[in-house]
Amino acid sequence: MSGEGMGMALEIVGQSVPRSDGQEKVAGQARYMDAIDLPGMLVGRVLRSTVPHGRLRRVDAEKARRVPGVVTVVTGESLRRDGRLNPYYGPALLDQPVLAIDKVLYVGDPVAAVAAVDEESALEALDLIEVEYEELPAVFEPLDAIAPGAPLLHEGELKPGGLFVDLTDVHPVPGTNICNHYVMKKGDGEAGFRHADIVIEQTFSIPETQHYPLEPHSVLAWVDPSGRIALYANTQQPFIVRAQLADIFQVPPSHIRIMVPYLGGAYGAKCYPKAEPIATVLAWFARRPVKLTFTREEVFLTITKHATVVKMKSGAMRDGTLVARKVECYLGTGAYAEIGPRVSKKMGTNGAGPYRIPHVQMDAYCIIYTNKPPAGAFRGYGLPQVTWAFEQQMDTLARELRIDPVEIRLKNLFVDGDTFWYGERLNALGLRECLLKAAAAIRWGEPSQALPGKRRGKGLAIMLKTLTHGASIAFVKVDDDGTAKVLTSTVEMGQGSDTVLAQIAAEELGLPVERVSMAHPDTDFTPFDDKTSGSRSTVAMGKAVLLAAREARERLLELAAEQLEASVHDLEVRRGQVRVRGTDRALDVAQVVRAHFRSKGGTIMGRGEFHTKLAREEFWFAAAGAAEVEVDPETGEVRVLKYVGACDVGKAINPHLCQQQVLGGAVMGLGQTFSEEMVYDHGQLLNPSLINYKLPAFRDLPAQLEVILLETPYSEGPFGAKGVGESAVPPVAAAIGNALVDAIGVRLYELPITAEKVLKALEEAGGAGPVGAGGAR
Amino acid sequence: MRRFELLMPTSLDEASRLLREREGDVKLIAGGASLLILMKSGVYQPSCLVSLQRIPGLADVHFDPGEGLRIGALTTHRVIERSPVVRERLPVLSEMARMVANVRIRNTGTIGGNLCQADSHADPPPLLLALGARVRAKGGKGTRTIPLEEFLLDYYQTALQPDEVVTEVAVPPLPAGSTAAYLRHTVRSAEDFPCIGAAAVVEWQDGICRQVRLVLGGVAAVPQRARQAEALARGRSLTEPLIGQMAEAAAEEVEPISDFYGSAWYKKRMAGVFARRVLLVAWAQRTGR
Repeated sequence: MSGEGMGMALEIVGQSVPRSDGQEKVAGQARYMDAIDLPGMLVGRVLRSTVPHGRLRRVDAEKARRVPGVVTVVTGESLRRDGRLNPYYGPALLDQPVLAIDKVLYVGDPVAAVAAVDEESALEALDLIEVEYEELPAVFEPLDAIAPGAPLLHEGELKPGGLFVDLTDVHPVPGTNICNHYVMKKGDGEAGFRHADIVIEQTFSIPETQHYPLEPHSVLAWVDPSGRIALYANTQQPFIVRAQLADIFQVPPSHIRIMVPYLGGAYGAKCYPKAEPIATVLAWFARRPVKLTFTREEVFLTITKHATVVKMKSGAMRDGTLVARKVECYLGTGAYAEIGPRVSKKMGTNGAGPYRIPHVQMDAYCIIYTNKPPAGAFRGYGLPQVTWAFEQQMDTLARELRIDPVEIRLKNLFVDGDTFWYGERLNALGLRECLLKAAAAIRWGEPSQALPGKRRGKGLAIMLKTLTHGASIAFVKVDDDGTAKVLTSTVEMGQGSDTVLAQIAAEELGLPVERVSMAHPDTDFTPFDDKTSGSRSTVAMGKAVLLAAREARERLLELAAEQLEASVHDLEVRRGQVRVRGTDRALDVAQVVRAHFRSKGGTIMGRGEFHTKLAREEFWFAAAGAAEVEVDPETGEVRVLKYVGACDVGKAINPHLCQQQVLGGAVMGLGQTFSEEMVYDHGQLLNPSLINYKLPAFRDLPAQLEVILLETPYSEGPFGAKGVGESAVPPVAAAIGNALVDAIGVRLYELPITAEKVLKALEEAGGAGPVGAGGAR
Repeated sequence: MRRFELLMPTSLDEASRLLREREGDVKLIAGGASLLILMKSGVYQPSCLVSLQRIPGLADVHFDPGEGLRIGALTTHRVIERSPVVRERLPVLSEMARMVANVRIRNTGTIGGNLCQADSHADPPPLLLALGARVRAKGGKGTRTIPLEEFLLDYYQTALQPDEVVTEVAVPPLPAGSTAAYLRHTVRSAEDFPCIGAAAVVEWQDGICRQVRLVLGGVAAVPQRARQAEALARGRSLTEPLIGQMAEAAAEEVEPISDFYGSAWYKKRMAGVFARRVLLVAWAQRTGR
């Protein structure tokens, strides 16, 4: 019946149709949080801790309250005294107060908040709030935080967040800063190492970095006369934020309404509550609309990527066959657990690499509290950190064993039919093909020609990531003018979901894509979706949209069959026309709807629902990256001449948008590889702006940046599609790290790769090694 | 950003008077490329800005046979980059201007603002210092001319009095037969301030190096002249080994300070590398190699 089911030629899916939001965004007309105001709106501002760890001796807001124009000043103490709210929240553990109570845990921890008629008054009030801290010993690095005698951040018992089934097994280790310890074991690690011909052990580390969406976190919250709470918020997760706010305000979730406009980028930074709790608490006390937009510095202090230390030990046979691997990941989650426990699970699940290994011991030890800003979801969800480790270790093994790095990967990598750690049967991987295509594109095996005084080399890396779980629901309504509206809670944050989901609906409904439009999330009216993250919208929401469109289409055909006096089985719908196949008897979709309702007006509805399964038969997305670099051995400067990102997308619903995802992911990966790092001095962030936190600029990009899209259809995905949002990021750093070794014979273990680190490593190694053979050993 | 008052005087005297009256709570704004960032981040919170934009004659560029290039304080980097008179008289200055940040910043930032900001990693100071530039400033007590070496005192500190306004930068003409070069080494982004900026001006006479000025920016608080390296070349013909010795001497004599761009160790190393490279460029210009 359906386009998908019948295997008919696709008309819209697979086409690079222009983004539906492109024109309004280019013209500056698209509505983001910054453009949304309400009459009588107040401005919210936050006072933040100046010490990394301390007891709050006194927070005195009396002078601030007397500043003209100030409507409300809220402190942790005033929340506790009020008694009506539950001031603690958190998706995994209820460990984060809306505003600090008793203790502050990092420089930047919110201490008090002000709502005033204008920014000037709000800032003046912040200056007048008197805070006395009793400083406590602080701890900043994950390994220091688990050392005996380390200061404890959270002293009391922590309650589970209770939001997610997969996080019911989060267990803080009492009396330590460990808030989760994920263990995964297969075979017998030590026995495996005894068999191995070669055992290598390395330690890798990755610093905190920023997601750096151009648009900062922003919320406009108000309480309507009936007491209902409403918000415009730039969140990736309206329903999860609603659930968290409902717990804070002790009301049913439906008492809260969240509307989401376009987002100016997110990359995981806008998952889970961010500015929402403070903004909503201010509005609740002020009884006036309050807008709270974080400054860039506040964004830096709100969420980061997990700083991680990865200790990895591998055993292999002389022919390159992996026999055992032991991995310890130490994630610094900052002051609050946030979604760290799930990041550690995902990092642990994927952290041994996409290889068949009989003996694996994984201690994705732990999410460790440190006196730094909280770390959470970041594009790739733990994979960027572990890929830096396992792909450099594969390269090290290849070099030690004198096996070609491509060969050693081909020998060990997962292929269809293999089983993963929990017995999951792998299928539709495309991993091998990604590797081979990326290697071919970089001309693997052909030596690089360097200019005099320079060194060149090539490297590559692969990764495999599991799908995040969750449910997605979609409604499709076809109106009497033959247009369709798709109601979902997928957030358009620049990734192109509005365009791709409309293409899926249009293909299935047989409507031109211009006749399909997307609603934006409104928890009162659009159906539930778990989140817009984890590369899941095209596959999970896409499938829900497909099913919803299919239901609406079937209803349309039933009606048309009556009207055309034909059998449903003889009908087709294409380009807005329902036609008796092989004849000129046809009705426009608009006519079908109107005829049914016998008037102007009428709606045909369809509903679709899709659940990604938790533990088995998940879809996996594969990617490879390959780089050719040029090193100046006098300065340590590394230039990427060419970078290739190869990703398996199952089916490219919109090839151009897929390409842009891979390009964007590669560029983000390059920033994480070469320049991005949050630098602290005793917990004080020293570079909270682009002055000293450097994103790649256009002139920093490789001369050649190539994208390869592979299509190994995934049976559950819409038209065979998989996700692509994150795939390109994880391989970048390791591919470049491996290319560096090829060029100068020196390996770096700590990101970012700076010229100074390269030069220092070269000096320690006694100069650049033999000229790179272009990947060939 | 805090609210502030924007004053737009139409004469230098008026600007100077406003600076005097509001001393301590006022900032002078030229292009604003650096100042506004510092205001947004709360480093400066002046209640008053005095803008130079309505004062006529501060953005002129012309050549004066006695004083050389006279570049108005409000001249943007972009104008210096594209100015025919700069390209004709001092092409190295135009080439340096082209390397500053990105085109958006070059269209906003001014040469006067850049020097007054006294950022230790800015591109113009080392080259201007090597070229012997002087800064002209006008205040309540009249006009004075300050050699750039005496103008830049420390991180973000200049020799300006609170009521003085920089009006122009004068760059003397290069003696006939001189060559000049500027190189920058960025470590975080091509659009970043350089970790090291290296400038060399070499005066030639019959193939002999009469005099060299070698200046390294970004190494410490203010650009450093490598005087011992300079002395090695005086009166000699340049060779690669000599340039190597000069570079070693330069690396030896600079006193680097660690910062976001590199450790003192790295900067010392780069001082040597870029001293050598910039001298090689200046040498190649003469020999046409």
